Amino acid sequence: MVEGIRAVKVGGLLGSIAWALALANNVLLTFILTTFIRTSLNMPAWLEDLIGPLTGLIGATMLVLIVIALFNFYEGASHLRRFDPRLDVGRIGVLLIISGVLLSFLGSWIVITAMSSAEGSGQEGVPPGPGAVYERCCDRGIRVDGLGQPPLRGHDGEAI
Amino acid sequence: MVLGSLLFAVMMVRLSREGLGKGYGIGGLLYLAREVLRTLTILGLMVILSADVISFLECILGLILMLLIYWSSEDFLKELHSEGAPVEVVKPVMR
Repeated sequence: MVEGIRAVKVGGLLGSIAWALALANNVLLTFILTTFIRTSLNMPAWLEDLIGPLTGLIGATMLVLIVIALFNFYEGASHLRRFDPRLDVGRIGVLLIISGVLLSFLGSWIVITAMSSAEGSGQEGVPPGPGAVYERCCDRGIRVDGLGQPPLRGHDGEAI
Repeated sequence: MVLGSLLFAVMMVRLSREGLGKGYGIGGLLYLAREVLRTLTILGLMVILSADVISFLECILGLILMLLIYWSSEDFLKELHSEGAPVEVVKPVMR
């Protein structure tokens, strides 16, 4: 029983730190948005470079702390279950929360991966435009109607 | 995730009813309130508040309920370790 409450206490402490970080992140972003975007002032370059990694770091720290806190809650609920079997509902709840957090993380990762791969294909595998088609046809000595005779090339491939 | 949080909130309310401190009960109710807020936001029914306000509210509620869990646990452990612990606090432990 005491062990269970002790684990819940540690979880509560870690959770408090995590939510305080989340609140700080929110305040920081809102302050920056209000100051620079809504007042249409120019954001300094150093701040522009710093804001992304900083908020990302705070968010990642928060996520790690939340997961550790949830494991502590799980441990605490497992101890409390021995004291009263009805308290097992907390353990199941923590398991569901952890699986939900992991699923949402996985979903975000899939979306980000899909978006980045789509951007990559846009750079490399795009259907060639008319200029590129003409270039390829000229390289292969193919006549392209409406674009004139392809330039004659010597043995070394240079246009004559 | 919402269902899990609701179950955890039920556990906290039960802890409070077992006599482990009112903080757990209030924390559990706050947890329930936060989950209702989150569910309404997910379903797109929270049209009164903007996304910024909802995000702030969620953070503040999360912080308060975690602090309540921490303080209630600490109070309970302190009372348990003190010599003159009230009977209703020690009773669940003796069961």
